[in-house]
Amino acid sequence: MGHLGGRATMFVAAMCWWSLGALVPVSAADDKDEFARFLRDKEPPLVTVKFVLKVKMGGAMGGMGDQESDTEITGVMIDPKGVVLCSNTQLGGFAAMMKKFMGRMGGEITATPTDVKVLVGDDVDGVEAELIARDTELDLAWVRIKTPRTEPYAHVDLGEAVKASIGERVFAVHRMDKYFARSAVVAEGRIGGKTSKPRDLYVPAAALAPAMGLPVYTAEGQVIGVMVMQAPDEEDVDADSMAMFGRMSNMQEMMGGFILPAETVDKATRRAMESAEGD
Amino acid sequence: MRKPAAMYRPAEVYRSMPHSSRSLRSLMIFVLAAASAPAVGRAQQIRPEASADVEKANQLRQDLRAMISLARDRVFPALVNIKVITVEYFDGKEEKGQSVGSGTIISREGHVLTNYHVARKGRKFKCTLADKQEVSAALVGEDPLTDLAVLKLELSELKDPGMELPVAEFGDSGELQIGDTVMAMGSPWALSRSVTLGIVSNTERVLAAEEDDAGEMRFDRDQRTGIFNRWIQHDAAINPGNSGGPLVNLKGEFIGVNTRGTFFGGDMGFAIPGNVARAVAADLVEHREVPRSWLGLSLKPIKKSGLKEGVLVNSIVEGGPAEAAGLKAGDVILQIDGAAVTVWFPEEVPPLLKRLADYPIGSTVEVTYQRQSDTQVARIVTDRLKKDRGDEAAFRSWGFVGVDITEQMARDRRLERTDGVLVDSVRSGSPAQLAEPALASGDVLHSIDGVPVDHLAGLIERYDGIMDAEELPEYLLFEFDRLGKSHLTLIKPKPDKDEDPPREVAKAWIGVAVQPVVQKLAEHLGRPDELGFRITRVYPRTLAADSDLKVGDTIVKLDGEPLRPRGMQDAGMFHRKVRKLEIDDSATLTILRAGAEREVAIKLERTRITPEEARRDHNRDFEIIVRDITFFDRDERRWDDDIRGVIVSDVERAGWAQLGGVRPDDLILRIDEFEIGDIGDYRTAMETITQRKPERAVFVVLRGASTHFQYVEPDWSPSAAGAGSSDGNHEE
Repeated sequence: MGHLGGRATMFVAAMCWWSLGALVPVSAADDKDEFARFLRDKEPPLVTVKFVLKVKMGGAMGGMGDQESDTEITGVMIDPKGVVLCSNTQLGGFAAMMKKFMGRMGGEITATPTDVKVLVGDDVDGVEAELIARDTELDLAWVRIKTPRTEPYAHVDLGEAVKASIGERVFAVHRMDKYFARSAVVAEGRIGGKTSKPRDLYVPAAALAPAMGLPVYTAEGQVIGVMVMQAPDEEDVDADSMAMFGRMSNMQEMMGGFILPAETVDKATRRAMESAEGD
Repeated sequence: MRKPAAMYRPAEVYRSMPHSSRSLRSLMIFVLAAASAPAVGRAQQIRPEASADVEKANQLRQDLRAMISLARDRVFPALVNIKVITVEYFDGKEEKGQSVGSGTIISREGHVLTNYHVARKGRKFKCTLADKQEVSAALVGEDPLTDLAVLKLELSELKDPGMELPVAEFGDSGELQIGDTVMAMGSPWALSRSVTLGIVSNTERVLAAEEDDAGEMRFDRDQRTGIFNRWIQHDAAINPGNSGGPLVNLKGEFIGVNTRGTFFGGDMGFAIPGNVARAVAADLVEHREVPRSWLGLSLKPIKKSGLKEGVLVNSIVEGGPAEAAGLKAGDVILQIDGAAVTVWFPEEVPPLLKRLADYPIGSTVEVTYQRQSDTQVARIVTDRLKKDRGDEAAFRSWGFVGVDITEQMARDRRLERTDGVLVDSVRSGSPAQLAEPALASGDVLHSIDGVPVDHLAGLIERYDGIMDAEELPEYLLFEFDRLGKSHLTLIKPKPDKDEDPPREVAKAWIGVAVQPVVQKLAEHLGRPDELGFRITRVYPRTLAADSDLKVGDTIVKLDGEPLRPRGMQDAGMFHRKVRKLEIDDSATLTILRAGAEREVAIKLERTRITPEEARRDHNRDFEIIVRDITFFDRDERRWDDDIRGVIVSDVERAGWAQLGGVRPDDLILRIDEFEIGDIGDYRTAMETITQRKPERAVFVVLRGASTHFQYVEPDWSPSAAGAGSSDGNHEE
C-alpha cells in the first residue's frame, strides 16, 4: 500500500509538473497581427466541455470510494452538426494513463465523465451532450451535442490539413476557464522533432500543453494536427512494477504533449463516427 | 486525618484495604511466593517450613482460581458479542460500515445493555451468545448522554425459543473501592469472548481537561456524552471491541459497563458505574428514552475561583428555565432545595448535574444563590431535556445530507428558529454542488418550490414524492438561509443511475496473443534471422481460430512488411500495426513454421470490448456493481459460450451483497427464480425483486469451479437514521 501510495503520489506530482508547464508563457510574438488573426479566425470553433467526473478508486488505491468533481475543458468543434473533439486524458482518460504507468494495480481506478455539456461562444449554461467514443491509444475523445441547433456550428475541417517540417513555427489557440471569462489565448511553438513510435507524431519544442486536445496550426493557419498526450503502449511496458520509476523519467516528454497528425485524427474520427452509429 | 500512603508501613496499608481486597492480596502474595518457590527449591535443599509454604500457596492458588471462576461464571454466560452494520452520513452521502462491540444480557426477555457508541448509527445488529448462537437484535433505546443503549434479542431466532437466557445481576457499584479486584469481559478487537483481571484504580474519575474543568466530552460538534457520571477507572486490559462489555466484581456482580480506554496511558480503562447503567437501562426499556429535567445552565467548580462555598453558574441558556427564574452567569449557587451545595472539584459536578436532571420534569427547584454580596432565591421550573442532535438523512439524487435542527443546535449556530433542515455536508459533483449558488454545509433549507420544509421527515416525504414521479422536474427552487441571509438556488435533480462507460473506437484486430522473438532469443533458438512475433495463443471463437494460424508459428511479416522487434519495448508492434489497418479488410501474414515460410490470409475483425467498457449496473438496494461478460473474461477463465451470467465487479463495503457473501469476480448465474444471461436479464430480475421487497434474495454464483448459494438480506427501510458520529476518540 505504502509503495503504491508513493507511486500514486509521484504520478500526481508529475501531473502537477505538467500543469505548471502549462503556465510557461509563450514566446513574444514576432508579429502582433499574426496573433490577432489567430484569435479572430481560430477561436470560433473552440467550445467549453463541462462535465462531472466520477472517479472510483479500489482498495489498492487507498479505497477512497466514489469521488465526483465538476470539471471543464476546451474542445474544438469538428463538424457543423455539433461533434466536438477533445483530449481523452482530460475527459477522464487519465485513469487509463495511470493504468499504463502502474500496471495491473492501476486497473482499480476508473473515471467516467457524466452530465456532459457543451458551451458554445459565450453561453454559460451549455447544451446537453454525450461522450460518443474515445480512443485511449490516440488520446482523443468525441462528444456530440444531443440536440444540435439548426444553424451550422463553426468548426475545423481536419480533412484540410498540411504536413509540418522540423523547425517550423506552429500555433495553437485555447480557452481559459470560467474564472478568466473563458478568454481565448494563443500559444506559439516550433516543431522540435518527429517520432514514429508508438506512432507518427510531431514533437513540439516548446510547451503547447494548454492546447491539449486542440488543433495546432502552421503560421499560415493551416491545421497540421491535434495536441495529445502519449504514453507507451501497454504491451511495450514492462510488467515489473518497479519499472514505473524508469518510466517516470520519460514523463517530461509524455506530459509535454505531442502533435498527432491531422490525417490520423481524421481517420480516427471517421472510425469514431462509425462506432457511434454502430452502437 | 489520613497519612500520605508513602508514610504507611506495609502492614498499615494492608489494614487500610477493604476486607475483600485484603483476602485477595494475601492470596496473591502467596501465589507469587509459590510461583517463585520451585525455582529456589531447585537451587537449594527444601527446608520443612518452605515445604509448608508451598503447600499453603498451592491451596490459596486453588482458592483464588475457584473464586475467579465462580465470579466469572455468574456473568460470562450473559456476555454477548455484537456485530453492527452502521450507516454513516458524510460528504453528502451515506456510507455503510461494520463495527463490533460487547454487551450483557440483563433480562430474561432478551434485553442487552451496551454502549451507545456501539449501537449508534446501527442499521442491523447481530449478537453472538455464549453458546455461539447468532441472533438478530433490535434497538430498544439509546442514551448518548451516558453512552448507553439497550438492544433486544430476537428470541424467535433462538435454536430453542423457549430457553431461559442467562442474565447478569447488577451489584452496587457504590460499594466499589480503590484496589478492589475486577474482571473486564468482552470481545477485544472482535476476538471471541475474553476475560481480563485488574483492580479499581479510581472510582470517581472525570475526564475533564486540566485547562477547562467545565469542559464536556462530545461525540461530535452537537452530541455531548458522559456528563452525568464519574467513571470507574481500572487496569483490567480493555481494547476496542470491549466497549459495552461488563465490569464484574469478585462476587460475580455486574458493576460497570466498559466504555473507554486510552492508547497512551497504559493500563487505563473506564467503565460507567453499574448503578448509573441500571437506572438508564430501566428507563430505556420502559420509555425507550431517559426522561430528564433541564434547567438551562452549566456549572463550574470553585477550586480556582477564590470562592469558599457554592458552585459557579458558568453559563445560562438564553430563554431557558434558569434564565426565566432570574439566574445569571456568574451567580454562585449556595443551596438547592435548602441543602447546602459546594463543588470544589470537577469530580463533584456530574453527581450534581444528575441530581438536577433526576427531578421530575416540570418540578420547581428552589435555588439559593449569591450575586455579588446579595443572597437571593430563584424558583426554577424544569423543562424536558431534549435531544442534542437531530436525525439525519442522505438525499442521494440531490447530493446532500440533511439534519433536523434541535434547540441546542440552533443555539450553538445562532439560528433564530428550529424549523428547516440543516445541510450537514454536500457531495462534490452533485446537483447541490453544481447549483449556482451551490448549497454548502451550514445552510438551512426552508422551502422547495415555495413549499415550506419544516423538518427532516417532511423533506424525506417530499424527496420521495419528487423522485418517484414519472417525470422529474427540470429544476427545483431551493430557498435557504446562510449566515442569516436568505438565498435562492436551482437544483437539477439527477436520476440515481450510473451511465455505461464510454466505448473505445473499434479498430482492426487479429485474435492471437504474441510474444516478440528478439535477436538473442532467435539466436538461441538457432534461427538468428527469424525475428518476429511468436503466437502464444490463438483465441477461440475468432476468425484467427478459423484460419491456419497455430501456437508456435512466428509471424515475420504483415502484408509484406517485415516485423523486427528490437526488444520488449516493441512487444506491441504487431497489434499496433494491425490496428492501423481497416476492419473487414484482409491481411496477409508471413509465418515461419518448422523452418518453412508460408503465407496465411486472414480477415481483420473488430477489437473486442474490454472489461472496462462492458455494460454495467449499479444496484443501490443490494449495493453491488455487475457487468457483462466480455470475450477476454471468457478467455482468461476458460469459460465456454454456455456459461452465462454477469460478473460482480464490486460490492460496497458492509453493503448487503457483501454481508450476504457475494464477492467481486463472482459470476451471478441466478437470483431467486431468475436465470441471469446478461445485464438485461439482471436488470429485469432486480426490478422485479425491488418491487417485491423480499426478506432475502438467493444469489447463485459461480466462484472458481464451484457454485455457491448466497443469501442476501437487503434493508428496504427509508434512508433516515438517528444522529451521532465518531469524534475520533479511542472508545473501547
